[in-house]
Amino acid sequence: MYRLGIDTGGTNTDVVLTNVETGRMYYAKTPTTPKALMDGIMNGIEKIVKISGLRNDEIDELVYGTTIVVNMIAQKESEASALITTRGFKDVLEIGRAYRRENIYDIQMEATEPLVKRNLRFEISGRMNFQGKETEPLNLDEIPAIVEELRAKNIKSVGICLMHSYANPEHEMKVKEALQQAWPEGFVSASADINPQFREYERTSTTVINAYMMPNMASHIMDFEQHMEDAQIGADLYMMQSNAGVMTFDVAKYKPVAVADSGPIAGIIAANYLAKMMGEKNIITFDIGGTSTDVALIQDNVIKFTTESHIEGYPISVPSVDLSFIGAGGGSIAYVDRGGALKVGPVSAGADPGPVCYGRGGDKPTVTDANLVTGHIRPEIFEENLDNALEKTMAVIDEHIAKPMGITVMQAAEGILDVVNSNMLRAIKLISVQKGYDPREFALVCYGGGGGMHAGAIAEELEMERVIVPYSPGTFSAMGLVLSDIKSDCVHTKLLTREQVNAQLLDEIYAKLDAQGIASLEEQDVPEEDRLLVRTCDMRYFGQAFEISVPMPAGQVTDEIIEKLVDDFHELHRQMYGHCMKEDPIEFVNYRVSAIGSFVKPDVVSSASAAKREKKETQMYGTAVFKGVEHTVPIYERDTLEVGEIIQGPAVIGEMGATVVVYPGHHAEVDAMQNIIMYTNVNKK
Amino acid sequence: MATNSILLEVVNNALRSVAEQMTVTMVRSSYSTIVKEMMDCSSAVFDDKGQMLSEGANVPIHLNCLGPCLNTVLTKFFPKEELNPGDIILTNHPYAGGESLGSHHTKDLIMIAPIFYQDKELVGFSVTMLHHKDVGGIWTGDSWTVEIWQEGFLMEPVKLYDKGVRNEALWRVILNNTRTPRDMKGDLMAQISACNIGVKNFCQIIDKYGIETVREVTAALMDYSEKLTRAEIAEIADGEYVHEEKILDDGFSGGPYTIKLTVRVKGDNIEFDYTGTDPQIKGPINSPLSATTSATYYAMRCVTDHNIPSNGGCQRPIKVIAPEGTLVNCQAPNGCFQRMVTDHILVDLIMGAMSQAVPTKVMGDSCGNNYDFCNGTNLETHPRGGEATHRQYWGEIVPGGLGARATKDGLSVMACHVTNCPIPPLEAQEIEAPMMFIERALLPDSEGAGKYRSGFAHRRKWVLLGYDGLFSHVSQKGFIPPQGLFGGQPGRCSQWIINEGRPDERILEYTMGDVIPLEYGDTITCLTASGGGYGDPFERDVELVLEDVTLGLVSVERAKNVYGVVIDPQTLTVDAEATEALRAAH
Repeated sequence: MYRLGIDTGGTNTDVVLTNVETGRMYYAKTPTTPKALMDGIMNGIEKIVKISGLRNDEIDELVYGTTIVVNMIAQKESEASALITTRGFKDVLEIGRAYRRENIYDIQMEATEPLVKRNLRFEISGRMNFQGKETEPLNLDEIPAIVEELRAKNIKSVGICLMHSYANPEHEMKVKEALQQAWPEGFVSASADINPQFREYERTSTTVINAYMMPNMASHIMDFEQHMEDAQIGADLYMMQSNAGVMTFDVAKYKPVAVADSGPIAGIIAANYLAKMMGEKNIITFDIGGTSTDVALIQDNVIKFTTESHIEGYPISVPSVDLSFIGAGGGSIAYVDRGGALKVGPVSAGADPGPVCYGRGGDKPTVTDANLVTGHIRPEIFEENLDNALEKTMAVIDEHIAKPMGITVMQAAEGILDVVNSNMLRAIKLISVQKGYDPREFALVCYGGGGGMHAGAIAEELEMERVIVPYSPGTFSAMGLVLSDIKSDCVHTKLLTREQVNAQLLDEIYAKLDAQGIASLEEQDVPEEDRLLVRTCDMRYFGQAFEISVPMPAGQVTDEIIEKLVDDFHELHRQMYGHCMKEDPIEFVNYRVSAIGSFVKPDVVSSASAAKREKKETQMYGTAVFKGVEHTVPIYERDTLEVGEIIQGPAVIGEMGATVVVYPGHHAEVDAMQNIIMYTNVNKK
Repeated sequence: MATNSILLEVVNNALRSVAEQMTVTMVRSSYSTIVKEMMDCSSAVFDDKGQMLSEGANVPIHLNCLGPCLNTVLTKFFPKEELNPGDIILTNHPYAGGESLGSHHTKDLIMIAPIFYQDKELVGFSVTMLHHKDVGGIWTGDSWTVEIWQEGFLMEPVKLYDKGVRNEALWRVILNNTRTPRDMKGDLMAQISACNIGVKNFCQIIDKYGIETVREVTAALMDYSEKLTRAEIAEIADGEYVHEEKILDDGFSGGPYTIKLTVRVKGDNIEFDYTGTDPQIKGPINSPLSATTSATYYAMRCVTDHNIPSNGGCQRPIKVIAPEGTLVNCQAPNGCFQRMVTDHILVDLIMGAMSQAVPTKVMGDSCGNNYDFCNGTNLETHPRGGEATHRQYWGEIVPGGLGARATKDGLSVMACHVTNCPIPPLEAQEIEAPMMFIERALLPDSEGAGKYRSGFAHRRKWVLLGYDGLFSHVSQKGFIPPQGLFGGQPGRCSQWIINEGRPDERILEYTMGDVIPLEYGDTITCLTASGGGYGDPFERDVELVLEDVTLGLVSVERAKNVYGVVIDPQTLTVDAEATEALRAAH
């Protein structure tokens, strides 16, 4: 059985193909074609089919990871959509939480423009209270006038979000049915279907993003399916979601918001898969791209989720992987500000013109340039042959950084790396230290083109012992696509105190959620033996506003299980905030079931063995600078490393598209799967 | 120095992490609505000399509010020799030490944990402030007070923890004096945890870089912020800029009162002199000196580069002169609980004065503060919690319209300058308390017109579904609307209406006052103020006027009368000819 993964990023489309039985993997990379996405995708498929010697009709499953949702929202490229709310609340979407989040002193800030403009936001009479009881009947007679407006304004898609619909969706469902009847040509998203949890602004925002994306997602999927048919690819089609699972294209048509933040997800799945194979339970993933760095924390091989994410300033409250993102990567530009301080990012040179050393016209010093000057990256790795790349790069760093600061070019280059590393440290601390995790108990798994150059320094700073650099870190992310499962998240909100909770009541709630989850898996043709239901319960001390998600076992709820939930909650609270209050009343808030349809996973066989090359007879050497000291360092080619080989730092290991730096005092080992494991030896000092 | 300035950025990032983590801990684990939903808490890390190194503040009025209090504690209560590892000092006294340089008001409890490196050397202070729900006082909720004792219990700086041991007697006394002991306990725990996090994480930074380097770098960091701030001041033309504003302008409690400011710029120094401001009054709107300086620093940060790191260095070029016994430097025993009435106007005052010097960096007057708080009981629908009195609390610092900027419109329904508190979800408020919302909307035709208009005001309406309601409201723009700049028109004032549209409708005469009792079914409509416009509205881009009309925010009549743009009400298209004629005649 063959499974194909396609990951369309901003610059490149990565394609990975695996034979699920043998674990054999094939990779291909091709430029993304933003104007006509399918062109790049088809190029990638053509390429990988050629490499693997497979026929199109032999592909059984296809998993597609796309950033289309984020891109379209960023560029406000969508068909006009509208919103229906409870009377009196159409401006909730525009008002939001009404505070200045980014910088409290920036009086020139711009408000986030709502995705649905005010004249396209409609109100309907009828009201539910917080208990889900109707306090004013719904007036469906107002629907025809709304439909008339929708037609007149050529609206394609409508979101519905009524007050307290999570507690009782009846009004919302009636509006949905009435709309579908009176307006069959349009797309309709109801908040109770998409995201039935309390907090009206976040729920409305999530629903509106869904409505906004529906027409585009539908036409993109149709286009995709047509291309598959034309190419005689009869594979089952799946799409990657922000929750680290996939869904069928048929489900994706109705729930595009679930795709929103899925860009960095495949890499996290791949990292966790690798960690499991290596017996590493606790890892922090570290993905350095050209313009940004994404990090996530995985404990006991369980990925963490959040329901408080944002894209482009718009909140989304469907579950997504809890990751921390900073706008600093290899292409980030360094500059000296007016106070004489060295800053890096968030402006990036991007792929074009890119860093100075790419020789494509970039004239601002970037992180990659600093890596070149310090000898942490080898000029040979650039695909194009560059004349005087090093001289040009040094001149630019001299002009922009060294001269204004009155330091040497080398000090400036090292300074750029120190500053960008401190930014990346902040991102890692956000998901570890700030949430009560000690990074020293985690291994750092780094991938993406730039990860291996910074990971050693970052790990040392955080006193982490091990850094794992998988083989071919530049294509590593895409591997996650073929290692994922089907996943569908169901949630119910009902606020109950500890006294009100009993086994029977929870059983009823979870049975309903289980049924929803199973229905979703059935819809996606998951056979019974591959279904798995995972439960969590969001809890807080009565009176708090933020919940902690506590895992709980599947099956019949018992008093013991509830007691354990309560104990676990106290402990998680203590871990996150430093204290717990065992005598205080506890409140149960949200109940969640993730329905998982597990795919058969390949046992990944490293493709490195195939690429294995003979060592050159004479060892190459170069110069690299660490902490102001120049070292003569051996330069290795990754494809020539032997399993079990030990490399003492400082050393530089290069491969196509990526470099690994072994820092002074560290050493690296090559394991049986050709992963490089770096040891920082922090505890031996 | 060269490597220092790189280390500076690295250590600055680390220090920011510390203060941010302290604040996040308080917000996420607190009980009090004003903290958990409105983030009314802050934290800062200081060096051993009491200079602020970094802050985690969401609410600008907290900017450096912790510094003066720390200084008071160290100079008048606990000299450094009396501090030990594991100590935590607690105070809520606005007049601790005899001046108004303590807590801003009695509900703001400040905790100070000295940081001892390896339990030996005093290296700094981890300080938190959290707005507690109830500290006793004359009424439950907010009210009109005339002396400080009516605002709750008072606590001069005391050791809550002495060498790691909690003073249980003090702990009980505190919890005996609040109507909400459970919430207060939870919030104190959150605050203690945050202080401890600051101590631990600052020591980790020292572990990493060594105490000497940290001292050197933090000194350089403050010099750096000072240097940037001075560079900005140097660009302002030397001279004196005078301006004045009124508060209690609707005549409440003997108003209006005048607040006067003379800004003196000389080279890279700037002086804010409030001489000429009226004496303090018998009411809670007096501003302690610590709050006056915070508001002044905030406004200064707004008209300079907002990316300058926030630390003690930013304040070095700034001198604040606020005569004792005035509205901007009140003395015991007058109330100061509603100091924000004065502090918000200080920002408008500074913007107005500075508009003469840096016209493109300021904005028109804004809505100021609008508090709409209530509590009531309903044991049938909301039997849980409620503590000893069974009361449930709700309310908002209601966001309104902000002033227009030199090149863009003002923000609609947005938290105003020195508060910046987010609003709680409507659904969360209804779950917690016996009330129901009827409306939350932008208020059309409410903007201060201009070439760039202000933001739109906010219309918010709710109904009490409980008993024995106690309602309080505060705003400072009841009579004189927020002023515009350079030909921009003023915005609108705030207004409260009880039972709008019913035979017993009552428009509140004053925009602040004492607690008002409400009955089951009573409704409250709050219309906030907006802001002032910037530039002549007849110069406003026709397309922008059309956009506001299309969105239902500006009426066709107002477009014509105020902006000189003629729009067909049916087709919503501009009559270019008529518009041109109208604008030409202007």
